[in-house]
Amino acid sequence: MPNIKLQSSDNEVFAVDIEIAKCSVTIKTMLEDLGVDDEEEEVVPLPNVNSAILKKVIQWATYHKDDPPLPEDDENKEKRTDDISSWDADFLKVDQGTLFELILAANYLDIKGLLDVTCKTVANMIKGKTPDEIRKTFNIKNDFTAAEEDQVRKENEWCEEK
Amino acid sequence: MDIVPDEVLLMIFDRLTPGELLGAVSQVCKRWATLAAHRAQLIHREDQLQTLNRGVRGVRVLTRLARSELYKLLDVRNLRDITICSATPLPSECFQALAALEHLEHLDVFLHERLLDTSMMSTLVRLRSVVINEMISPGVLSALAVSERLEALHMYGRALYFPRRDLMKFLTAHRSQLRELTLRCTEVHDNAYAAIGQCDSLVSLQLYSCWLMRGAGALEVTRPPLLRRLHVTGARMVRAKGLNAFLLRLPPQLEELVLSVSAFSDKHISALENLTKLRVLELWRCRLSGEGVLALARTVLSLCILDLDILLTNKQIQELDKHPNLLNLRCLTDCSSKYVWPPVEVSKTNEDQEVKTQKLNVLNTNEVYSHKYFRGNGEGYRGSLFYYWTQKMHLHPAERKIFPGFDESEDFY
Repeated sequence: MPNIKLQSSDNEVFAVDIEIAKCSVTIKTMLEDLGVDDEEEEVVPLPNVNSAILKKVIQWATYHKDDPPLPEDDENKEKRTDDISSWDADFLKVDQGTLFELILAANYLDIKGLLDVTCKTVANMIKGKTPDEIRKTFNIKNDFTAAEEDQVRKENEWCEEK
Repeated sequence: MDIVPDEVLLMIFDRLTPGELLGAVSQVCKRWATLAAHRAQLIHREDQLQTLNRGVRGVRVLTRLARSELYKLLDVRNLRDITICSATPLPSECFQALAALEHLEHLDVFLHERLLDTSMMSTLVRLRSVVINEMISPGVLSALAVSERLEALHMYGRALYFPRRDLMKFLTAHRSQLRELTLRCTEVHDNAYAAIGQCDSLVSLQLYSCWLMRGAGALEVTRPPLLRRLHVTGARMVRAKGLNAFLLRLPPQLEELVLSVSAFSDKHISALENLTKLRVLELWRCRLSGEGVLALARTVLSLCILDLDILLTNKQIQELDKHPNLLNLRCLTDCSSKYVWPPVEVSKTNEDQEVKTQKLNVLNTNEVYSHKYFRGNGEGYRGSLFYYWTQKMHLHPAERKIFPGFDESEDFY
């Protein structure tokens, strides 16, 4: 299998099987646009992804290289969040910063499967929590004034699944 | 979180229900509120129905709407999620309107009265998940038994009307496809628990008020091989020995376990040893000691959330803070004054250095207990999660004001 070289934002170069790299639609398109030549070793710069994250992404893509492609149809996208495979769950046992960087990388590289599973993981961190617990979990500042907060709470109180 | 662009946050929100979006999520901060509103819409006035656009995937409807207005939902072709809150029985036209929503997959009904209407049958058959909070009509379970795609059923309400026959019929019909099940099991006997145990695809099983569960029944509910969430509350009839056998049989991939109101005590801790994926554990009204909690934390290193109504000393909490994964702890604390964490002395000594941020969030159990919408004799935190709605209606008539669907005054708007 021919390899392709991916260069992270901090200039580390990773040699990756071309088929694995192509799970990223961004890279796939890039290669098609460049008209990749097997003789030449292309280096694809990825200025938005650092080496630590790129390493994780490659690890994920390698494990999932034989997965069937996710269905395209957006309307019927699964809402289920409890179907994260145990490999993925272990893979995503990372600190929150890394998790969000992975989401951003998956979004930039356009890797549907990785984006899907990372978003699910974050959604699971939101489910079943009170607003305050969510703020604590994600270190979000409450920017509502007391009056606004009261208003929002009143509006939504009945549907609060607390 | 600030680095996460809106489009990514929206993708995350797509994984949540309209209830979650309009509930906790929209109260977090202004940005989340705005984004959440894009993904779900709370409808409490007729003209708001018209503002629904095709992009909205789920709605919550308060049926103070003129009934005919519900028809307008028919125009929202993409609607997949619907939550209906109604103080009065829904008219059959409403069910017909629902039946016409061809993409509808998730139905969440919070009705004061019956859910089922004969015209509803055709809708039920197509649904993938159903949430019913209270007043479960006679026949709901047998009606749901004919559903072809049902994967999730959550019935938080009291089990006034599920004859054993209906429950068995339902469980038999969905043995292989049911992934999530929630039941309030007040009158459920061991033979029904055996039938539940036969549902091989169950990932999430929440059984509350299992007053009649015995040792044999407890063993049965550990059977589903894919189980990742198991709630069993009120299983006091499962004595210490039976409980141990139950714990040892739990599937190793279990991530969430709730055993409130059970005989769980210090001597059961070692039985949890093999649960290396366990992240959430709730033990309210159990027989665990403070020192037992520490032993428990040392045994289950994967724990992220620990929910207790046990009194812990500051020292014990500090010990727990050393736990590698524990993030949230709910317990009683021994300060009569307002609880300060970290203790003042600790933060002082750290003044010069970069202050080490405390990783552990400590919540006081009493704050939950005293929450006006929770049941006083709660079976724990998670067991009360939906159920408090109904308590609000039945026990707090004075609180109806904040429940706009039942509020006769127009102040709210």
